[in-house]
Amino acid sequence: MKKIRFIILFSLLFLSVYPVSAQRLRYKDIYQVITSGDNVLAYSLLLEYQKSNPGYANTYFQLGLISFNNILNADPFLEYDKIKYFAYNVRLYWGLAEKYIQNDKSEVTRNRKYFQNVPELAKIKRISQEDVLGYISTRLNKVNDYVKELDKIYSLFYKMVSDYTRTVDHYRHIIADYAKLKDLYLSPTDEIFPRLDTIRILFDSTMNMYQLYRAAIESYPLKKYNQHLLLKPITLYRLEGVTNTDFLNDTIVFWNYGLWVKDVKDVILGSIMNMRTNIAIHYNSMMALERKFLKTKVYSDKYLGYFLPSPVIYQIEKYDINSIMTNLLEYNKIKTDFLAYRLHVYNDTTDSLTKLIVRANSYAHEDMLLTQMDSMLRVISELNVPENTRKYEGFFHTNFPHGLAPYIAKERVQNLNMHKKDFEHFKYFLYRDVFHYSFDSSYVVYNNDTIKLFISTGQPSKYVTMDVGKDPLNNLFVAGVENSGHKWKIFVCKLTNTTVQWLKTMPINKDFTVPQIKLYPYTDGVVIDVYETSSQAQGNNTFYRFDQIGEQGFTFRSNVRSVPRFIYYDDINNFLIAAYKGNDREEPYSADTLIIEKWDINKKQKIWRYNFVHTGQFVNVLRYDSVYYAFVNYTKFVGTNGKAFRSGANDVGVIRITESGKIMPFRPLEKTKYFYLIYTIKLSSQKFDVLGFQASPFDFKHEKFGQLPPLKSIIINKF
Amino acid sequence: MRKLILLGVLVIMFFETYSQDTLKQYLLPLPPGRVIDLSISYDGTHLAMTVVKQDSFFIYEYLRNKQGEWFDTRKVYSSIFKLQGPTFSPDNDRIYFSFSTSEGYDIAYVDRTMNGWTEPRFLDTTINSKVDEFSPQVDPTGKILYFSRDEGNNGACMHLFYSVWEHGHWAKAKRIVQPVNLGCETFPRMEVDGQKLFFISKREKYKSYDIYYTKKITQDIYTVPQRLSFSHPRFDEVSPTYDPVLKELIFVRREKRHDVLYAVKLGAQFLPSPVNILRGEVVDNATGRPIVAIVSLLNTITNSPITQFVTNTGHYQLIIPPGQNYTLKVTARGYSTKFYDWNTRKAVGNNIDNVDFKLFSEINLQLNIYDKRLYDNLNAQIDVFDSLKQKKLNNIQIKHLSKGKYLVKLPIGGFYSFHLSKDNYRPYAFGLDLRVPILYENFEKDIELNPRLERVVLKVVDASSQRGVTTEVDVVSKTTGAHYKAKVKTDANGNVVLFLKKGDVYEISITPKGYTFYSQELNLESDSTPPKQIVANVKPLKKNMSMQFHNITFELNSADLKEEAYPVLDQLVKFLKQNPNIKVEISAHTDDLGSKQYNMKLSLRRANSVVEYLKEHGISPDRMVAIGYGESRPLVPNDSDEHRAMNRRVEFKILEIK
Repeated sequence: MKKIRFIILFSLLFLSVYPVSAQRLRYKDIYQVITSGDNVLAYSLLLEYQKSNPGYANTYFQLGLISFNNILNADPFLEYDKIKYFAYNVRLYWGLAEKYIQNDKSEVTRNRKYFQNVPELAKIKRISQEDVLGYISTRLNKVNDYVKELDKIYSLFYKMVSDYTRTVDHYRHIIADYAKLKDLYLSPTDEIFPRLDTIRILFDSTMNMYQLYRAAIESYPLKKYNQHLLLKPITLYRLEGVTNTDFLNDTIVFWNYGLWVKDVKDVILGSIMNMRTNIAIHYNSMMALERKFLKTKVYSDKYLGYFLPSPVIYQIEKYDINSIMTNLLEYNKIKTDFLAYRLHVYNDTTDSLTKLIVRANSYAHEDMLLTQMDSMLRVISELNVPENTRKYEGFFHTNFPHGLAPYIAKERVQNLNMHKKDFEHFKYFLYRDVFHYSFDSSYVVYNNDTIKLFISTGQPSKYVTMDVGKDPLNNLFVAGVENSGHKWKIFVCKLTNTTVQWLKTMPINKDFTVPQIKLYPYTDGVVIDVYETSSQAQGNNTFYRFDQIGEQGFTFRSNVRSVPRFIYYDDINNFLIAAYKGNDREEPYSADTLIIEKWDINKKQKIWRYNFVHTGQFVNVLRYDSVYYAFVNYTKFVGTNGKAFRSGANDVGVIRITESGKIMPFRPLEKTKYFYLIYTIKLSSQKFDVLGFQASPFDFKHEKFGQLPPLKSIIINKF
Repeated sequence: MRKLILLGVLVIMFFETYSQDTLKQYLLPLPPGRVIDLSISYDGTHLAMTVVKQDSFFIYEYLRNKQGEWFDTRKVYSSIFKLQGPTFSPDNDRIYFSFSTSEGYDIAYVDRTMNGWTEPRFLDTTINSKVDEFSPQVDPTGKILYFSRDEGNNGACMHLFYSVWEHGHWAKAKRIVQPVNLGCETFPRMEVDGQKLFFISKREKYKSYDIYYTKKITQDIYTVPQRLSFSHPRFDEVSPTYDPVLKELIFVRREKRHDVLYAVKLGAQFLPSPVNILRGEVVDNATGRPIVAIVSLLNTITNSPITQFVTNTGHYQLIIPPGQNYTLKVTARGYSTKFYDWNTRKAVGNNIDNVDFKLFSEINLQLNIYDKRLYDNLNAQIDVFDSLKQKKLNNIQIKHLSKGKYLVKLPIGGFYSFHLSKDNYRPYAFGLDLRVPILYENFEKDIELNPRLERVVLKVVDASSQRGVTTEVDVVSKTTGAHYKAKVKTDANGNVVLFLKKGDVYEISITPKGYTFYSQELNLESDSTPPKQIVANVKPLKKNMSMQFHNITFELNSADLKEEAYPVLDQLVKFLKQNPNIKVEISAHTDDLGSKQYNMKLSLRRANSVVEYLKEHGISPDRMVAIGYGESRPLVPNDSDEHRAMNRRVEFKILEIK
């Protein structure tokens, strides 16, 4: 009794906390819910009813039916798990329904009305056990078929989805790694091809799966899905192909990655491979030519640099703008030009025929090539970063196993050394032909006396050489003073192949001395300018002309009382230009007046003469189309208009005077700041070459060849 | 003793069941009027409240500061008609509420925009029926709408319903299963995990509306609802809402004289499960301003959208339970697209990620234009059209970067076609569809233009016999400096077919062995009519044959060659090298200005200058003789400047052919 009270009390307590519907479930009510179509409610009510009525067959029949309908209504792709779940339930419930119907033959007849909520059974007046079992059996078969087919379709569908998604992912990784398609083209094939092949394989698999999927749903159509494929090409890198597709759409859009991979590989194996082959061919050819030139000892003007066709460069630039490869190829092309050029005759020290002007032009050209090469090496050095070199990994690995940096350093030094060596050749000829320095103390013997073939001082010999020069035919002229006993004379002689052809003498005025003689050899002979001075401060310049056989031509005198520093004779027009400065034999850097004059030899008349306020040294004169360009070193120059030009250490300037004597504005040469000019050469009608030292004129004396600082050459366009 | 123990247990259970948990008043600055109901957003940052004052109804919005306090009250909407039960959408940019109309209560919503809240819009008839609907709330996914409906009881008794968002609209509402709907239910309030549901119900023996709690297992299965113990047996509790910041349940109790706001701490079993919150802003990359964007959550497997919404304010917020990966797609009309992989598997507690998306509205397309044959860069005319409207677009920015390279800025969302044209090249066209999702800003496209070619037949014939001459032909474009090909050779009949680019001017040079050299300019510029065939008559070299040159020039009164003479002299070098068996006389001639003696001397010097040049370029001096004829052999009388110019010349005469 106590127990019972306790139980009642306890139960009441719990009932009050957890109120539960005390309403008893009646099957006919449940059936009403079933027929109302509220399957969700019906399902939960049936489950509830089944707990208290486990042997009631119709419960299972209805549960199976609801499960069956759930299967049909479920999305085969999005609710696959639900379908599988309810398929299991269908088999379970209808299995139980079958069992309970078979166990009790009158089960169906007794509960006939509860089996009529399906159209197939509803049209049967008196439903029998066989009818119901038959219905269950066919529906079960249908479920089994459906699940079996769906399994296959589902698997194909999701394999297709998976393969395509992976394809897209791989593609996205590629476009993330390579911002430009060209970078992809140029990446090493062993790096990119596996990635491309992965995409192709996955895409092929996707297409295969799609075909199988289509076949599967055509043989077993799904209510909701009948997708068709639309293949779209990837026409612009990074614009198309970057998004996945909605596989549940009626039209599934695939980017044609297979075609894209093929196109990319075609380019890599076609144009890029062709480009790489061309690079290798041309590079190897250039290397072979360079090696050949470096070994060659024979000088000849026939050697030419390598012809690198422009399309090779353009082809590279199409894929690789500002490319390290184009710069490297162009550098080597110019280097072959340089090496070929160095083998030309101008550079042969045993060659005595080539004119200085030709040598000067050639050296200037070499200098230009060196500048170009150096500039290119600088560019190559700047471009020598992994992101540039990896585009040609194979090439650099083969040809530059230690990297480009040591190569660049070595090339710079090698090129400079070759050029310096060539310049030494040029200097040799320059000093020999222009400044008349002797490298081998050469002389000739004439009437048992020696005539030095270089400017000499002192009097150990009868003949004191004061100037030397060669005419265009390579005849050598020597002029100086002759000591005949106690009488001094002026002498001039011509040598051909070190044989004196003739020697002429002229008297020196009484009480005069000859501090300086300048000569100017030309095609048809020689003109000499003899400067005489007396102790009474008198002085003059006398000009003599001799032809090739020694016959004396004109003679005239200029009353300029300064040492001649330069003369120029135009034998075609018969004009003579002379420049004078100071009174010392060796021209000092002085503030003495600079005098330039022009004479008409035909009329023996001075055409014009100018005196310039000039602190510096006079160099020489070049003629361009009826204008004389007179080059000077200066720290101070005052033009005829009174305008003064000054400089700190030393600068180079040009006085320009026309044939008729009109003075054009004095022009300092900007390129030659702090430059000490020693000579200029006319290279062509548009260019001249200034030669000198990057030094102060006060720092050295240039008698000794071996102690000179490096000679510098600057090419300037005529202005 | 046993009885005592039993009684004790029962009493404890009673108290556990029936004791009033610690309630406290929920404090927040109230606007004037009477609070009808309220709700707090899923992330706890916003609060919506209905207030009635002087027969007008107001919906207010509160924001929360960093200290967790409510502030910044703003009016969302007001009406003389009754408003009820406002709740926020998961992104807090929409408020659903019930709105009394002439046909009864229906569910409406207002949207937040950059300019404020919109006017109310009603949901359609799948939700709003002929009877009354109250207390709407969408679940954290935004795909299920819960509300209560009076099923013809004139508001006396309602039940809970739900509807699923499918195919762009709310499906027909269904009643929530029993035992959720058991008495009279309203105010369904889902927690942030989308599982735990609070609602109020009047059922069985209780005479007032109390707060109940249930847990959703599936849409069709719920746990048996549990009445919360603090519910008052006599007073109605309404409007339960969970504050995730304080972890308290807030509700309104309609006490005898007034309505009171209460808060109660919930036990662990009532707290929501951890969720993932992703929020941020979608802005214009250029201006930084928020933009109206479309945010879609995609199924990572099928890529079909699970949910999609528009951010009217540029702000977005998504709430998802952990366990799956998703892909977020963010785009806006006329803007690029961004994808974001959202990994929700690793959520332990609530994971809140702030991710802003910057979208750009234009792309940069670099066009690199080349000559297809030479790969040389080319400038070209570029016209851009709207493909759909077939209309030329004049406002497209095209910047010329360098030769052959252009940068085009294109607004996203258009479908464009490009037309490229250049004189003497075939036109080129391509399309560009920017209506697709755009992920990147910069693109590059190479375009190869095909040159229009002119077919020219060159025939080299012996001027005497008229027979064809086999020889190499050098064809150089004077316009570009490019050689036509490395080597071109005529056939046995002297013919060669050249395909030359229109628009260029070519120099055709022929130096056949045993013949004079031939040079002709071929003008293929647009305004010229080029010949279809060129016949180059080359004269066989004969003794005493002479060639005249007026373009070998010298400085005035000088024998110094001008640089302009070098190309002709180079050609002569080539000719002499090609014919090593000939010896030539090189003579210079003057006009009659100056003395005869002078002219003679000058011309001799000039002839010698030419010989020197040829010698320096590898021609043996033995093969050349220099002569100056001065004014002695004029071609024409020296009676005019023109004639004098004709007489000033250099001549080559073949002295000997070995």
